[in-house]
Amino acid sequence: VTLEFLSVDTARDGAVARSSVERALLSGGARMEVRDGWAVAADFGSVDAELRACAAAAGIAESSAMGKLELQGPAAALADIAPADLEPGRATRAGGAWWCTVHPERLLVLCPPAATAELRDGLEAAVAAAERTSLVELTTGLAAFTVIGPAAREILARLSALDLRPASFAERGFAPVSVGRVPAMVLRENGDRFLVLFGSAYAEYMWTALTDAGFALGASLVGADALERLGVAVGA
Amino acid sequence: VTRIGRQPGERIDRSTEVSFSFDGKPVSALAGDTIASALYAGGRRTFSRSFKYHRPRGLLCCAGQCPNCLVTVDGAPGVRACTEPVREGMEVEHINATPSLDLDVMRVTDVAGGPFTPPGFYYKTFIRPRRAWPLYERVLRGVAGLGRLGRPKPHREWRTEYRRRHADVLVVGGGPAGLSAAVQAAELGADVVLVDEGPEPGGHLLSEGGHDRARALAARAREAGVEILAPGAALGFFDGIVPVWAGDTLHQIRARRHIAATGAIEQPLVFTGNDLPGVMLSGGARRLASLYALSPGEAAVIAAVDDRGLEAALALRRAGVRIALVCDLRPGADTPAVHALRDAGIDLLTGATVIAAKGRSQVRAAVVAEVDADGAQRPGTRRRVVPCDLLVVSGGDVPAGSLLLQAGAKATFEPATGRFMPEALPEGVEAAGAVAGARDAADAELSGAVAGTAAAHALGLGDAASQAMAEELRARLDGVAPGEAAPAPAMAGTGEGKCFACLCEDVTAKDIAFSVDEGFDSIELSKRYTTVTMGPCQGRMCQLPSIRLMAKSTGASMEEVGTTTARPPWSSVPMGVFAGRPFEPAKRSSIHGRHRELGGHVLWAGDWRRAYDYGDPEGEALAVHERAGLIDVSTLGKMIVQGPDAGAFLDRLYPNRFSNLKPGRIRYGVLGSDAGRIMDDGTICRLSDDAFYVTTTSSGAEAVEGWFTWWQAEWRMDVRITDLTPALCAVNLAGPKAREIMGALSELDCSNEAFAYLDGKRAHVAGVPSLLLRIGFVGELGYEIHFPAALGEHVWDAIMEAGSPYGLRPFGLEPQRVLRLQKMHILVGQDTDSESNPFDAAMPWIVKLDKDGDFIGRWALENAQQREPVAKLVGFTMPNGDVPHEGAAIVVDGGPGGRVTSSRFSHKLGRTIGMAWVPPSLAEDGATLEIADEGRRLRAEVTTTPFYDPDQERLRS
Repeated sequence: VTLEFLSVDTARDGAVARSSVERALLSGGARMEVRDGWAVAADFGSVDAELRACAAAAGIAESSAMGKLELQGPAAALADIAPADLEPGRATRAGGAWWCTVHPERLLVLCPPAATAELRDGLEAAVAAAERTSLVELTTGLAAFTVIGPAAREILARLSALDLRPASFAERGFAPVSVGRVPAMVLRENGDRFLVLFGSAYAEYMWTALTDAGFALGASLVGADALERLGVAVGA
Repeated sequence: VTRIGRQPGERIDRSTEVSFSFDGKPVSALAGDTIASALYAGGRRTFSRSFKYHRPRGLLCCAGQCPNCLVTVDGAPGVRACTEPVREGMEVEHINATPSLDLDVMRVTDVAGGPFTPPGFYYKTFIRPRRAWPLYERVLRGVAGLGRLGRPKPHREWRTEYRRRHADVLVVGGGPAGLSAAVQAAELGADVVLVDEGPEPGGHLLSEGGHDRARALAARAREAGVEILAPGAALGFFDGIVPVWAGDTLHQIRARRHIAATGAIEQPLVFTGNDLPGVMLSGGARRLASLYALSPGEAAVIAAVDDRGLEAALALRRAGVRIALVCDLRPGADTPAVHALRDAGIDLLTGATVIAAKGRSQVRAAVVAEVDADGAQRPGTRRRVVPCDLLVVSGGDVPAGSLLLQAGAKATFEPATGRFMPEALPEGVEAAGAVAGARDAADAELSGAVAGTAAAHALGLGDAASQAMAEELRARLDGVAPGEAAPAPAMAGTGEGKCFACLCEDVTAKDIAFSVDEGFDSIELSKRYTTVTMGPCQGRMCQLPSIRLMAKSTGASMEEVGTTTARPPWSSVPMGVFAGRPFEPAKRSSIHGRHRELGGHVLWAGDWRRAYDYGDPEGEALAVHERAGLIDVSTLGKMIVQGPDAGAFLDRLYPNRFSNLKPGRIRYGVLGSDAGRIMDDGTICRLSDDAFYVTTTSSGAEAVEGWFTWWQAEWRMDVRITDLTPALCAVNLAGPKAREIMGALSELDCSNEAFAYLDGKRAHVAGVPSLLLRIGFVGELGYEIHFPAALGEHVWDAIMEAGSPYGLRPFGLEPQRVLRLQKMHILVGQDTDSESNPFDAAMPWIVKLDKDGDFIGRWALENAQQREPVAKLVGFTMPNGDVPHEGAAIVVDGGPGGRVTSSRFSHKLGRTIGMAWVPPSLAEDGATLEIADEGRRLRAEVTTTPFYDPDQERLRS
């Protein structure tokens, strides 16, 4: 079955995908640009200042444009499709994407926006050849915010009971968990960089809660350009 | 100013002055002072007025334990002056005294109010005439209490943070035991958090000669990586979570191991006038002297039950206080402290204690006598009246075991000392220091080291060397001899004046006896009746005295009386702490911002924030009938069910068939429970042979997804379920002009022949890939358009623009509710309840009992079909414009016989319409209903067919 109506990248006639918190980004001083079919916050006035904020305390970024694909099926069938070293509680980096085990029969695959269509097509082919498996695109179903910097753990600790200590939540750690009283998933991409994913209907609420906690701890809003300079472009 | 010479380890900085105000008058303090120490330095001796009798109260514990120094700081009541550091410009006010702290007219209650204020007086006096109670209540609330809250304000005045902190080891208490435990655990590699109530860790070491050791231990702990939260109050123990209030933050600490090093609480003695300013615990007097360089008095009498009080006498003398007399309750006590006292030439009376404090607003003399174990003066002895301005009492230490007891430990009576010890600690919890029975700082530090090492070892840390060290520490601890103390008597009074058991609530020894006489003869009942232990000290000062008094009054032993249940919060805390940040999780459609810009009147609808209307609900509904309307229905639950068994799966869940639905077609479904009751409803569109698109109600989305997943886990069919609710926006374009608007936005052939009622098609709308469902909840030709949520505003704006020439208007939830009611489309949960089945809800056609195979609720529905229903769901109309409230009663034979579930005035139809559950005898067209609605009796006429377009011609057009 084609589920094209779930995919942003098949839109045409100048349709631009927008974050639910675009107004908040604009009121925070964002300079918006259309990239890969999405209106994204390129910067908030000064990329250098954003980089300094990330080093000194934390940066908070809107990262919802990344591709998000859900694979369902028996663990053995998913193992045939996914990279070899999948393990619960840890994400695997392969093929330019994050492969996250939500539970043994459900995988979430995250990728840069520009890579979504190709990855989706490849997975659709793989799913068609496998038994009892399916693929659904959740790019717009899940919003994603990045929190990066030395204060990132403290910011997230204001909202979640997840044990974020490095010894407990190592790099590539991935956990379905409550964040701000909302069902969410947290991925520690590396060092002090965390990705928070949750139902996109909560985006405005979560942005308010996250920035409120973050600003109190010295965090700043960060745009896509700053993330690129840090080598952590959305979904990369 | 009564500062004495520089004290070793003093906390004040004599080079830095701080100014604040007390009751509007300027006060000069030193940096490091507390409010209380600064005021004491200025000569103040009365710090508050008591809860009920408005008696003057002075400093007692100087450690944040008792209620005697509660003040209001910058508008916040309930602040303990003895632990609150001074800040430049802070505004401090007294509580519970009118017109002033030193002259309180309500002191009359102490003199003349006794007959009117026995325990539970509000149940006995001030109850007649009954109509005067509101006046009494207002007066009583005005004259009693522990401060006033400010007027409610629309916004929070101060910020409260929540912080979750995981740790390997949590140590509560920063005295020698806690610091030692934290150091040992951290140095073995554990991640340790230490909480202490004081402004700096160290406990009584800081004021009792061990400040260098305390600060060295604290420095070592920090060096080992211990996170120290001080001042911080551990509020309780909740299945391993310990909330700690520190600064502006509530830390929720989840530790793998817990060490309670909460110390012991020095107890007051119960005697006549034991609440007079000038009566002070030995620890309080020593803190004033050593931390703040204040002389607590000029001449002191000291009443002790163990060496602690005697050591205080020596320390106070070193600080310049003249020691007039020391009473030691232990007859013939012979300890090093006794010898030291005698060597110093201090007058010591053994087997004696204080039986009264003399003075009106300040201690002027102490009356002492030799007493027996019950506190009665021994025959043949005489009382001594000793002039003094400071009466230092030390009634023994009670383990601060509340957190341990909350964690599951048992309180066990220790006859030798007359106190209860926490024992039988639960797994993962250790006790160290005085709370575990240590008698001095050295023992406490040793016991802390043992506990810290044990905690680290339990976490798999340490090595053979640390194991050997642990064994050596344990052996040393086992060899420590217990201390010597005399259990204090329940009361040692003169028989005149009040002896207070509970300073917080003004409960006297006589009140406890009175409650027993009235039948409240268990400690739990007496607590509730007299409110003893229910004040700000949370029983720290009064639990043991009240148990002793209960035992004395009932004739039971203290062990038989037992303790009250330890409950949180262990420390008093502002209610606002628990409120957290003022954010409510709300779901919003991705078009929500546009609705606000269009003037949408946004309200809660379940978990969602939705536009109820755009300012003209009647006009919006009429636009749908006459031209076209657009509503955001993104809140609908949306799921994809795919796999070869998808059709069979839905057949098992719903009472009607879906396996025979053709791809591209839609069918309505009512989801039932295994009892045949209506759980939810929605539409199901078959996308392909093995994929169905299922919509649910907005409020039922999560429950339905959970229901599907639960049954799939049981059945293990070849089916996958994915919740798409937030992934997709959905809008409903409805009205006679909807087809033309759709035609302008899509290449799809929207003719009735090509795109018929209950067809589902995929196409681009305004360039956006969409799923279009031709259904009509609002009763007009309509299309539900589902598309990626991130393109919500693009599609909404495009439709509004394309519809502008046709008079398209946005419409909200309220007009939608009128429109659906006109069609008698039910709202599950409003028109149905947990007892409603499809037969009774006038939907027998949805149940296909003739279909093959079992389905959820089949047995129950087969039974329901065969019995006479108790009630049926019908429509009703009212011609005269009355609109009964939803929930109004249907009256049958003078009693309730049903209820109105929905009601609105329809401007399209020019009459009131509604739905109601009625007895089957009234469920016929033309039957008359009598409705009781808030005192009114209304009449309505039953109808069983939709009020609008009953033949569905407009829907299908």
